[in-house]
Amino acid sequence: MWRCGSSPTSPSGVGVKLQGVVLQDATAASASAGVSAQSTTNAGKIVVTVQENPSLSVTVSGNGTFEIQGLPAGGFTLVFTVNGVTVGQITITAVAEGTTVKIVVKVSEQEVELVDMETDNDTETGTGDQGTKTCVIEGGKVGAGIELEGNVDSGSSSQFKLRVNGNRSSGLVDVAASAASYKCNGKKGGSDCKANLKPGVKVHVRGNLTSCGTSAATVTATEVMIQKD
Amino acid sequence: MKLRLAWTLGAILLLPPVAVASAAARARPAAKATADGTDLSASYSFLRSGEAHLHGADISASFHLKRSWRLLADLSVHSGSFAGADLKQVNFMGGVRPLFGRGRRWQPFGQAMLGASHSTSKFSDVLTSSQTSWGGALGAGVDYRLSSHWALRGQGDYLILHSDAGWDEDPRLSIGLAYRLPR
Repeated sequence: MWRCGSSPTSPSGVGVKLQGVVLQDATAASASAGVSAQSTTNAGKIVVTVQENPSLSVTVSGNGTFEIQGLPAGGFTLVFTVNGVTVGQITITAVAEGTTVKIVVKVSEQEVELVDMETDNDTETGTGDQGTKTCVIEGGKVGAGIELEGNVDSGSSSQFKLRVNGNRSSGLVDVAASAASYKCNGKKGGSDCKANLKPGVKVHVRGNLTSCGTSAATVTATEVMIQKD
Repeated sequence: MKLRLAWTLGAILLLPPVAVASAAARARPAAKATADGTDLSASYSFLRSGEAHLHGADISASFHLKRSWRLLADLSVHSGSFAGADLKQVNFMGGVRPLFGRGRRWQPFGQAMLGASHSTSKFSDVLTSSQTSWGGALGAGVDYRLSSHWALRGQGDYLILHSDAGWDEDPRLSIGLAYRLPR
């Protein structure tokens, strides 16, 4: 670690290793991934802390890179602060011991958005024996927990199609959300919140990947967070 | 603490050559004439920037200033990827380079520079963010003279940069060729 002020990380080879790049969105503008390019200038000191073990904390370097080792297998939540103010968090689930997780995150003054995620066992979970990709979602494993961020393409609160941010999915993902709990801007909501789910809104979906092929995937959601109307 | 250590190291590097080099210059007037010429170098360069390992090129020019001291301009460009994002960093710095024992086949040198660095992080042509940092670099290296004009050069620098995101300390290693013009 060559960063001033960074906390020491746990010994390598224990738990889960996380490598990340933070891209700052100084304008807080939001655009659908792949639709328009955003170019911004970084403007703040970003610290990433592991919620389950706050002693695991690193300062993001000037070029946006950071690394944390010794994360708990199974899952963990990363809390992002910009200039000392908490702007959001990202939860990573279903991570096996010894895995390296690579994430790209967009951080603005108001929110944190997971743009892309890969794991070092992608070749085992997302491709076949011949190296052919078998799941439309990068790193997707049928039956395992999954978290996706993106924009609603079409549908309703019980069933909708999700356009996943970045390059993580090469196609739309079907989300079955009839049994999911809904949150709007971090607060639990009922039917009023569900009514906000319409094409174009940005959502964070947590659930299980129930099926995945080369052109389609289905996620059964347990929680849908509507981040922006 | 690291900063204090780095600047102390820099002071140690820069102090001795005044005495050492003047004695060497008296002993080798012919070598001095060549050693005083402008030199140009081009090197492969490795930079650890934050957590990323970047590769690229470093070019520099140095000009005779006084005795064993030279003025130095250095430009390096590095690129690579980390966690799925493409990274690029351009450093431009200027400073001084003291030479130790001019005219010998092995010629060590130190260097201290001030300048700026611009880094760009890009994901999938969709998201780009950039950062400009200011700071300096302390380093040392050695030339192995191949002929009167050509030398093999290896050097290491420690870049200390500050931006809105805080302080960064990036080590840089370079190896390449230097060409010294006649005075």
